[in-house]
Amino acid sequence: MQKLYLIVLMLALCTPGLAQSKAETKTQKKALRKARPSYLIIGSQFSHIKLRDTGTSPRFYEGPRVALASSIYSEDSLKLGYFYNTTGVSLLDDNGDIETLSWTGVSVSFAFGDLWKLKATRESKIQIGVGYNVQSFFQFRTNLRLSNAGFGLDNLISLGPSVGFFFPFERKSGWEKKVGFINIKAQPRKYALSFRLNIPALTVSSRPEYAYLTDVINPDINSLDTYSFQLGGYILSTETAFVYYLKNGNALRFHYRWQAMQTSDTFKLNIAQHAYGINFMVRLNKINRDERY
Amino acid sequence: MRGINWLLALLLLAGCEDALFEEEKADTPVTNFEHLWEACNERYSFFELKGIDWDEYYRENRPLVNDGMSDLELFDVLAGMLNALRDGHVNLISPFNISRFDIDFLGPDNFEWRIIKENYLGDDFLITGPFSHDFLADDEVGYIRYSSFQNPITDFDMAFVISRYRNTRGLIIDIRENGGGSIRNVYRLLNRFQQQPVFLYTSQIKSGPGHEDFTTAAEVFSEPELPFYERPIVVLTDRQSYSASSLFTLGARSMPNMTVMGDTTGGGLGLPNGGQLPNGWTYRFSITRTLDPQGNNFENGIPPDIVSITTDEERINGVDRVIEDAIDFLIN
Repeated sequence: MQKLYLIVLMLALCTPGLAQSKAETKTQKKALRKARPSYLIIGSQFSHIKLRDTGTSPRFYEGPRVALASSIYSEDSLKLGYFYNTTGVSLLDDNGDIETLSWTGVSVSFAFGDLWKLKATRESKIQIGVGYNVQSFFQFRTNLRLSNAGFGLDNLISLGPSVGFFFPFERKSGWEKKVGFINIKAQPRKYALSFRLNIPALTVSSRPEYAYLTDVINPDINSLDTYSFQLGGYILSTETAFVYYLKNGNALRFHYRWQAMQTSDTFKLNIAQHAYGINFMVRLNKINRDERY
Repeated sequence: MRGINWLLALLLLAGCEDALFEEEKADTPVTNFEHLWEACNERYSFFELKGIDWDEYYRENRPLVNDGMSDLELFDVLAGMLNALRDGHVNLISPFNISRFDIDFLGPDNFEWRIIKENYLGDDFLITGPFSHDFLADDEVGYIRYSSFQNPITDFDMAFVISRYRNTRGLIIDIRENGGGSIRNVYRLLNRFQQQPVFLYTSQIKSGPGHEDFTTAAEVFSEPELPFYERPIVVLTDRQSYSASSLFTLGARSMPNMTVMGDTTGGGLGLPNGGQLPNGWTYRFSITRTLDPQGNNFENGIPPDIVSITTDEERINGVDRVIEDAIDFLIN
């Protein structure tokens, strides 16, 4: 794991040298950036969350999270850039056979990053990109059965290298088939399949202090004083996405995101999220003459 | 094709949180016992104050726990161990029972609401928010009964009662059998009885696994609010004045115009915090401590300035000795 970590980190640091041609002038870069297909992505995300806060319980709580998702996304054969946000609500219970003990939560997550596609792979079937990623997860949750420990404010921010694999493909010619009485027509179409792995190098989180006193209604204790920031822990994540381009340059995007998070304090917080997203990509800039959908 | 294989291999990385996270604790009687004992050992506030050798309770109870025992048997062992802490803020909560340490029996019954209604207040007393109140002793004394700190006090409630009794020679605030509630209401009361901020107590939170690991003491002051009542006030307490009631009593001891009368309170000056066992049962115990301005820890109960207990004979005759003594004190 450590070796892989180092390799990807080195790749990320060397990225500009590997990926960017020295001959590219500033003007060319500007023109490229302007021409790079950019999208506004709006959609929804349905997740299964698994949470354990060992400050209050050794048990995992699990349940759904429903979120609204929005992103800005740009990609061409040289570079991928993105910023995304999801805002959602969750209801998690401990799967116990006794009366349900549950956490309800409101959470917001942000991520942004850039990946530069390696020159050597730009013309290959599978392009490889390396770069950086910053991701964060903020959650406020309540479980009133836990007395003065019944509130949880989770904050994790992680920065690290990122590696991506991109597999654009297309159906160049259409076809027509008759199945019984139904005519099935398939038109020429562009698709893209991608996979991204974000590896944490530096993570900061805030957690309640030792006694886990998080009751915000107690006036003689300032609740924020009972939290402390610490370095350590991680947010490890992957994203697998499939894009189905429409004739007008817009697209449909389906993704599966997996996140695993852990804090570094004595009583660790573990969160895993399996998220399935359906999104509509709205093309923001003009379609270039040489682009074909 | 090789590329697709790569993608599939990387995809497998996703969903492997089980390999990253520490395994969930097994749910057996032994792990539940160990978890509860350790949680208390590392976070409970009053081992030193109460002179409790917690290791001794481990040695005594651990042999009683085995993986073949029933939930009821396990509950009895765990509840017995927790009750050794002699703390009303300590509970074990299962679907079939809740363990508790009953503070009621630490002292005599010193309050009967029916006697007060029949022989002191009559039918016409006022109910303003959480307060039942009226004049006593030919309108020379105001009596305010506050039965639970869980019942919220509003600015209107305070302004109304203070205004009504502003010309009396003194006030009685009766918090006997008041088992506590929100600390916010403690301040809402105390803030009305002095024009200057008064140093009430210090508060410390458990900060590490050592039995005496606490944060530095935070000093807590009253924050005066208008209108005031600065004439003499007697606070009536008994053994069932617990938790927030004890905190109010502790604050009252620091106020120059307040006198505590009745019986020692039940204590419970530590804030309780909750947790869960591997089998899903929950528990709570104290994780803070509160000291008076002189550094005294009254977790086991705050003694009154003036002891006053109603005898059985007086009760039969419809007399509340504590109210009688409070009236005497305020008038004479």
